[in-house]
Amino acid sequence: MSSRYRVALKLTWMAILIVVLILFTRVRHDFVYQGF
Amino acid sequence: MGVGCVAMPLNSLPFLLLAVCAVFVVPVARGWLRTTIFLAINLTFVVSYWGLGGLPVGLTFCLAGFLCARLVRGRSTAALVVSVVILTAMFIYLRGYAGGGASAPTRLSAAGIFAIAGLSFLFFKMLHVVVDASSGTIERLTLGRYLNYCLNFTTVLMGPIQRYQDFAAQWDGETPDAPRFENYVDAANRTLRGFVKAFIFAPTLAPYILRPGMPIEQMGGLELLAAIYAFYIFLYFDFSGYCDIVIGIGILMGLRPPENFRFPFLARDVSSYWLRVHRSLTTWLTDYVFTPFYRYALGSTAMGRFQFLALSASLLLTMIIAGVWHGTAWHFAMFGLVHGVALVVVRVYEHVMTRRMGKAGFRRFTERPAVTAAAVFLTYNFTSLAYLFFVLDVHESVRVMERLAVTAGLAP
Repeated sequence: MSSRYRVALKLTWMAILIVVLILFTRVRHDFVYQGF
Repeated sequence: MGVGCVAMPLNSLPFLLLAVCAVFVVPVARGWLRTTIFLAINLTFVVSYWGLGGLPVGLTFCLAGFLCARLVRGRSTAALVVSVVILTAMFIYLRGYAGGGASAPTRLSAAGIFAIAGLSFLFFKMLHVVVDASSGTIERLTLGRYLNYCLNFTTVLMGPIQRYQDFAAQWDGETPDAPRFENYVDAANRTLRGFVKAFIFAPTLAPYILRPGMPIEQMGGLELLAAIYAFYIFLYFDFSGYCDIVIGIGILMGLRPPENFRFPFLARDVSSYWLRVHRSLTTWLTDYVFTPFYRYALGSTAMGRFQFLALSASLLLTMIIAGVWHGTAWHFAMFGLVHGVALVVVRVYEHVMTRRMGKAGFRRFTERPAVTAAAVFLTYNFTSLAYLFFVLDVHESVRVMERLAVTAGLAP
């Protein structure tokens, strides 16, 4: 697979993740380790 | 968290703006300007968690570490011991151990002073700097760089626990990642994956996980077991998601924090588990607790002749410290002790099997697929159950284990 094609695939995957995050992110989440 | 302050969650617009600013400015700025800009970014982040009232407390703690590190250089071991005692006393006071602090991680301490988010991580980073400064392995220790190391917004809150030498080398341009466009895309992808883990997967599991105050008597054994498993998986998404976010941002900035997770569910024994979960804590404890104590124990008259006794005592001490580091309540010590005992049992098992089969024979035995599967299954179940002591107090943990034993037909 050429480097340009691989990068294009990764950028597409990034775009999908961004859409998923916009649609499903829970606004509030407290990390378990936060405060240790 | 300090009184009256507004924390900056990782999925908030202020944090994203701060991260974007760091990613585009820190790699291109030079000299004192770079140090000042990064310090301003880091202070903005920590103030959002500590509050303006907590900032002097946190900075005083950091500066005490810097002074100790400068003082111990080229001096006797006594200076190092005094420095470690002073920093530990400050940590105990700030963390609220002396006042019998609550187990909840974010709170005002029992003494009424500001509980500082990330204090335990800060303490271990500072101890590392002081010990390494004493041994002469830290050369470039300047105040600006030290403060940026301690308060680095990608690691100050929840690790990973980076080594000063590693940070300083990267700050000076010795980056482990080649500056190729594809590497930046990978880093951005990793950050996004972290957000998905931490802000979609973990909160989705959150309602089903083990938590204090659950109606244990009204729950079935299988229901409890599912809650225990759910907690382990939740913790993985929560903490490894956070690590992916900050490691991705760190790579984009040219300051890559160390890795912390590597497929923990595939661990074959407890030793391997601790190298796959919170690895930066494990390596810290190995270098600064286990190894020095083991060496001391081997040299002592009481344990020197009994190598296994020295090893066991060192493992137990290390794991109890690992447990207590996580919180001020007794159940955290139990969490460490349970893991310590398991590590000793694994050593005994390996010793017995090696004597019976020989080294090569034991290796062939452990490589069998059925043995590997059984080892992974046992480790997964043990580490899941051990989280009982991480989440619940000792009394509640025992009640849950009793319920599980009844369900399994092991108790009436």
